[in-house]
Amino acid sequence: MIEKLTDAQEAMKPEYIKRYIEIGTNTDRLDYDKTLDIVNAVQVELLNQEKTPVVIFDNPIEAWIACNYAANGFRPNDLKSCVADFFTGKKPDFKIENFVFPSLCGCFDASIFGFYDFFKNEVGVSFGDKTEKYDIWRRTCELGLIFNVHNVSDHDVCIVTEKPSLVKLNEQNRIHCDGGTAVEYAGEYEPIKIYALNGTVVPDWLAIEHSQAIDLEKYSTITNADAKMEFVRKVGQERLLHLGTLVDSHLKYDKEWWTKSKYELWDMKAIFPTIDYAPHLKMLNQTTKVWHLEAVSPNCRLIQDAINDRLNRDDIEIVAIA
Amino acid sequence: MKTNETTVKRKGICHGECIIFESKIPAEGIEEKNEGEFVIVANSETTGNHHVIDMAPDVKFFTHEGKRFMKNSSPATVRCVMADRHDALTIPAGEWEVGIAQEFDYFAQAKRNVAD
Repeated sequence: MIEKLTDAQEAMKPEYIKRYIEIGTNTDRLDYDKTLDIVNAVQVELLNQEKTPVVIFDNPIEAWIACNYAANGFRPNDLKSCVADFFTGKKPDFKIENFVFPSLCGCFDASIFGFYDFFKNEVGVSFGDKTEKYDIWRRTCELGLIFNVHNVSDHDVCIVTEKPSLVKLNEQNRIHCDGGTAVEYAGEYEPIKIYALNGTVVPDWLAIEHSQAIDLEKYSTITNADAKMEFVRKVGQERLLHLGTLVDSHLKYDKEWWTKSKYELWDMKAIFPTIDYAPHLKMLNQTTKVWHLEAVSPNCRLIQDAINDRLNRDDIEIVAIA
Repeated sequence: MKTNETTVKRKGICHGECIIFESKIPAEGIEEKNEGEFVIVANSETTGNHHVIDMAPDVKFFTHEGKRFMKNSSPATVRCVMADRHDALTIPAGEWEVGIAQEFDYFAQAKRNVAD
């Protein structure tokens, strides 16, 4: 039983984290022969099945469409043209099922292999006679998503996605790009662009536009709390609140958590052209120290009203916030 | 919970949009069968940063009329999957109701659960 890591083992953890983040975010294009070797080894040694053909697609959307065709009897050699027909409208009636992640997630599983490799290499945990199988599984992190598809017409196939063509991270290793796309997948028909700030997926305009150019009225169009937080962080709470009117402040009260959260009630009707009064509760995230601004019901005139509104009841005394 | 002269407040813990406040487990509450090391108490469909309560033998969850309750005879922990977004908090032993904070949608003119 391992109860505690040694100082030397602890010291190696950052190296493994760095190494496997690099593997997980690697953007090299796949080599077909190498991909075939990895997939066929998995099929034979881990899944106890026969080798199948492997078809590589640029991104998960195109790959998933190909999976749907493959599962419905189309041959591996026809999948590329099937996907092309789908996007060019030649097969408009073909039904695509909702996306399901495969059991082998390739580079997305890099963190798992980082964990196992650390304990295998640094702590000395033995995988015994499973070592060879582990190494076969581990090599899947060199690929994108891996869909092992059973075909109703006995034309089984493995569909593999390329890895992203671009991944940008912030200092905390979260997907992030202020001014452009944080993650991109290539694609002849459906390239994928993901916009993210500090790990939160945001609307494209929030990532792309300069903070001073962002129309503050767009704040009201965001429905996700984390995306709202990134909006406030990017444009600055001072600029946003410059449009508002302070209605109530924690400074008037002697309440521990109101003071810590720096609660303020602001009327933000300026960002809702047709609304007469739009109270918002401003608060400080106790962990990240980032400001939040959340809309509360128009009957809120005091901070206590706003808290009751958020909690949906009026008989709670807040004793802890994180 | 009203007394003759004053309103007795329930203790409440705010962990992001997850609200945990003192309550009583309804007699008709149905105990959940949870497996795994934690229970998701506020689902994050977009970011995956779920708010979870760590499971222990004395942590039990119940549901009644669409509401969720928890009973713990020793301190429990509520935390986030991504720990850097919200610090973990200790929930004292007791009986609790678990809910989601509300926000007002000025376009729909209606309240809704805060989502992330």
